[in-house]
Amino acid sequence: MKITLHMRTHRTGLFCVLCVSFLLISCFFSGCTTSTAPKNATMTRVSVSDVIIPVEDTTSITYTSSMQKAGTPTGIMEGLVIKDRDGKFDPALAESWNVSDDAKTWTFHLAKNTTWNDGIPFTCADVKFTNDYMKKNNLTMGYVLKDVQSIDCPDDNTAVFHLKTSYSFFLDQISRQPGLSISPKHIWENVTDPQHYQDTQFVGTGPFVYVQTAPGYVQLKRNDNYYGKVPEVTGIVLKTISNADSQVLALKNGEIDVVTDITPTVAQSLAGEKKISVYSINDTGAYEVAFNTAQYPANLSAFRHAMSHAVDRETISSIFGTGRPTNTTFLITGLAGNYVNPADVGMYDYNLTKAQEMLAIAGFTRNSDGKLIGPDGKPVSITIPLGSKGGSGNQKVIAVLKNDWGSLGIPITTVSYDDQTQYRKAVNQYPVFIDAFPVTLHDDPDALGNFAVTPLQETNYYNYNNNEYNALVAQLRNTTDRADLMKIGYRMQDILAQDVPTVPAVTTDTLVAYRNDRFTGWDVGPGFHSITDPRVLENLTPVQAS
Amino acid sequence: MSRKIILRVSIAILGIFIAIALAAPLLAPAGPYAITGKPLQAPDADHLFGTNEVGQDIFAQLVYGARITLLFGFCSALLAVVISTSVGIIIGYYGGIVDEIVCRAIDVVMPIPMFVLLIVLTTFFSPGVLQVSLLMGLLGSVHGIRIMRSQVLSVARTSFVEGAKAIGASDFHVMFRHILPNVMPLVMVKFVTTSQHMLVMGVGLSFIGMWDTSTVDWGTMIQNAYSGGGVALGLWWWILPPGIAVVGISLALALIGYSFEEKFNPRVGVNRI
Amino acid sequence: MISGKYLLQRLCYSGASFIVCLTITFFLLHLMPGDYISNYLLSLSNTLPKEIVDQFREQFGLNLPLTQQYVLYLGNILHGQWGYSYAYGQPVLSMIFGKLCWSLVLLVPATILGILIGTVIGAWSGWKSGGKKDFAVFNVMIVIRAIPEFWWAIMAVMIFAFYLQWFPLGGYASISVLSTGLDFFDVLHHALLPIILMTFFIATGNYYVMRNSMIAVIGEDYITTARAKGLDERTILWRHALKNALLPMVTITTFQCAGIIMGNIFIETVFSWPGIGYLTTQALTNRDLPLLEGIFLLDSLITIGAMLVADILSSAIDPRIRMGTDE
Repeated sequence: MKITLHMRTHRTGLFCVLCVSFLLISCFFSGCTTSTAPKNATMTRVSVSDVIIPVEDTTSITYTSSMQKAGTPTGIMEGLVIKDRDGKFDPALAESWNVSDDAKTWTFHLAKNTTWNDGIPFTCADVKFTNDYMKKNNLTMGYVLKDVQSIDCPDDNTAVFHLKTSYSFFLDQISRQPGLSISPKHIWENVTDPQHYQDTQFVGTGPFVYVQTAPGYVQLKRNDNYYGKVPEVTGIVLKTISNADSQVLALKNGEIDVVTDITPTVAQSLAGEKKISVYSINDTGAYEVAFNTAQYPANLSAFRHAMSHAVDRETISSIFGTGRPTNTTFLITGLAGNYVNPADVGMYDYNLTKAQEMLAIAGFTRNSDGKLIGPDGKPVSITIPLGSKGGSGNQKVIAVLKNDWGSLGIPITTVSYDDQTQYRKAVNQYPVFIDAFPVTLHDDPDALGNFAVTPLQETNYYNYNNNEYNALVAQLRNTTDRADLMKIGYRMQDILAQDVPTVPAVTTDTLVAYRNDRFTGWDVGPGFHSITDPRVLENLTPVQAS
Repeated sequence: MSRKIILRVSIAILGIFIAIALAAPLLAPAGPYAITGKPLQAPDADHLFGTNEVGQDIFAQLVYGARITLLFGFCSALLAVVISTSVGIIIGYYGGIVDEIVCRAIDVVMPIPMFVLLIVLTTFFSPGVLQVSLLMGLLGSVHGIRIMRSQVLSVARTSFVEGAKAIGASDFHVMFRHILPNVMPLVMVKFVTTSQHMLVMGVGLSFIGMWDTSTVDWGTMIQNAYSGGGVALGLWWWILPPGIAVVGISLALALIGYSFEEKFNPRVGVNRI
Repeated sequence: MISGKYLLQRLCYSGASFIVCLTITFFLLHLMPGDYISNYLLSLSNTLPKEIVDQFREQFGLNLPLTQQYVLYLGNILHGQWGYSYAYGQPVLSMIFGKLCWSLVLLVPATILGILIGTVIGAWSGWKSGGKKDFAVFNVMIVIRAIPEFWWAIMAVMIFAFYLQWFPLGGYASISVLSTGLDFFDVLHHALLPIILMTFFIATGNYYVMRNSMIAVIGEDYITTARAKGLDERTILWRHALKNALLPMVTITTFQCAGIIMGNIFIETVFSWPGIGYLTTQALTNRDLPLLEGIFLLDSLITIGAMLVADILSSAIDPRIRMGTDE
């Protein structure tokens, strides 16, 4: 044990090294503070009635403002109208609006006595400026207003939008995520290089005001001068928690107040916890088994019809654990209401025997191995491309299809693409794909425009092209009367039922767990699409600590 | 001796894993994708390790996952070792301008961040586990070439190689009959340790989601369980089986590698970076 | 000592290496399938407004032929202009440094501690090789290293952060940072668990190299001679063995120091500590080419620098070593 003596000197050495590394940490961390903390940081206390919401990374949120990119901190910027889940448009910066008969001129009456949160009054000039500025500087977000020719301001509280072509669903366009956010003229008119401008103030009109950024956190406080309902919570703190597992642990620990997008399993097991409640925002996502009508065998109408009876919605839905099977041709009943054509409900019932018979009539036979042989004499096999967008949901649908289509003699294989563009190319090469839609694309006849070929949309993912259908879509754009819209929509759904370019499978819900000892009111109100919707946050009430 | 026991146990574990992978269709006739139960059932008689979030049997997934995970590790290691050995022998034997060019080329490629490069390259060749494993092999070989080269240099100077050359043996003959057998122990060690590295790296790639998620392999299984909140909720049967399997195979390979190293090369002159 | 000619030759070589790296990364990234603007717009809606895509491509010069883009890019880099991120419009360098410094908070102490601990234990283990203690330490090190890093991290979070609550679940700092500003001990409290884990990992790697090197040195003639001369074991260890065994460590530690710039994506994910690793994967999924190029470039620069330093250091210590001839 001659070494022991030296190990002791080593220990002293190690201790020194420890001290040095701590010193180094402090150096770096002082470096970090200067680079990440805002220059105008006003230290405000975090109130107990601030809602703490986890996000993947807070820094990237504050890099850009709504002029440059969607996804800036919630509740600061606002648009003209908000679409709620009943399909109704709620006033935001626009109190009321009306539309000309040809659906080309839209007039918005703006909320009066509204100010930006730095005290400057909000007027129509800001609305006009937002459009002109985005277009002048070729900002990507300008695509939301691509149908707008110009905006007029007859007075401070009225904005008149002149569209290039008739568009009866224009409100949908400017309210649907990300929608149109109005930016303050007095800030942006001095910005000469908007592509590279970093907003540090986030001046908005919304119910919340930007306060500060700190490493791992973004803080917002309520806007006491808000023209609408002033929130009861004092503010919002966004906290960086990168992975779902830690978010659940943090909720259990009480470090955060809410977790969204949890899996049904997590929801089930959290429901047993005393201080945690779980609720669901129904029908937020939708899945469909879609056909590429340009590729064999999906180019055969008979094949598509047969396979429309081989999608087991009940099982798919039970695997998702939330949501419900869809039995319409495309629109989701829960959101589209009476736009859904009742005559076409239940067209694609699940019946494997029926599917088999229909395949036999269409010239498909089974060989001795049980493989399905197509009319061309070759065995049928189907490859389904998988993109990153649908994620694990697509795989759940495919897991069920593999069972059922396998029993019909059709083996299914998959190929994955982690890039969206590559995936879209692949969709064009294979007969079947699984599509995951946000439900906002399933809620009115305008959404049926997906299947059309128009001058504005030269092709669609289904490679579907039906002249009557295309004409109906064009007609839809300049129809404003709801009864007429319904009639056109019904006819379109009839055509879809007859041609089967897609088989809607299921909808899914967004499950949310929250601390019921901190805030209540998450599940009150019209139920918007996410927990960070300002209208949801407005409804929260702090639980009084007893 | 206890070292021997460790080596035997490790080889046995490796053997069992390979046997399981080969016998997957017998052990789990329904296949890894079949939905055989309700989602997230705890282990019982029907489902040895319970079911996952889709209702697929975890045992079946584990057994089939062994195929992909092992195939991936061994394939990439094999390619890496074959390339580094052959290039190492050729440049070490001939020396001169060939040696110079290859060494300079390696120096140039070395500063490129390998892990990111790997992820970038996988997007080119997506989809496909085999392609990714070959790519990893190709990238992994770069570091091995130098080690092989220096080993070859020390062998090429020995008297029997000089002697073989003197009696007029062809270059090919000398390289494969005289040099290769002498560097073989090092090649074996490299193969085992590289497959362990590659295996763990592959699992890591799937853990951060940079992987073909439609395949069933241990990394994807861990990723699904972790991102699904399996750890936070204590659904141990969801995450522990693939986790223990990865740890088991990685440990076995590592122990075999080090035992080999000591056996073949008592001086352990191998510089493993 | 090092001759001026050698130094100059080495510098030219590093410069050439940098240009080659730059070229490879540029073409690799620009030929990568998928582009930022299509992916971004497709994530917002289901249709792709073509005119917006074209407009974006024109703004960033993506409509030019690739070779022309390359010449422009090369010019910009040589002028110190690293470009702006597609996704955030911010200067690439400031974005990288913003995340990098947080990565360094974890990695600098972990690397220093890891190298020291690994070297010390490795030297001891090599000196005692063949003994029972060496055997035990050796196996413990194998076990630590063979278990994937993220697995250790997940387990550590569960045990120490969730059940025992000794450490926070993750993040840079606790929420009090909003009212009191960054507090050194608070950040330390958050950083300690990931630092310990990474130290373990880095230490095991160095342990093997040092142990092997030590074993090799013990077998050398001069040690046998020293023993035969009847020198004290302690003197042999300090004067002869350790000094020579440390030589190969120079190269390895320089590379390790260079490697810390890539961050540690596993630790960053599990501990909610978004650093440079997170930034890289995000940039990759977004296809944010300028940002990716920036990260690649910075990394190549530092690695090339480290190679230069390692070469010069080892040739200064041992003049027989010259570039390329490391037999």
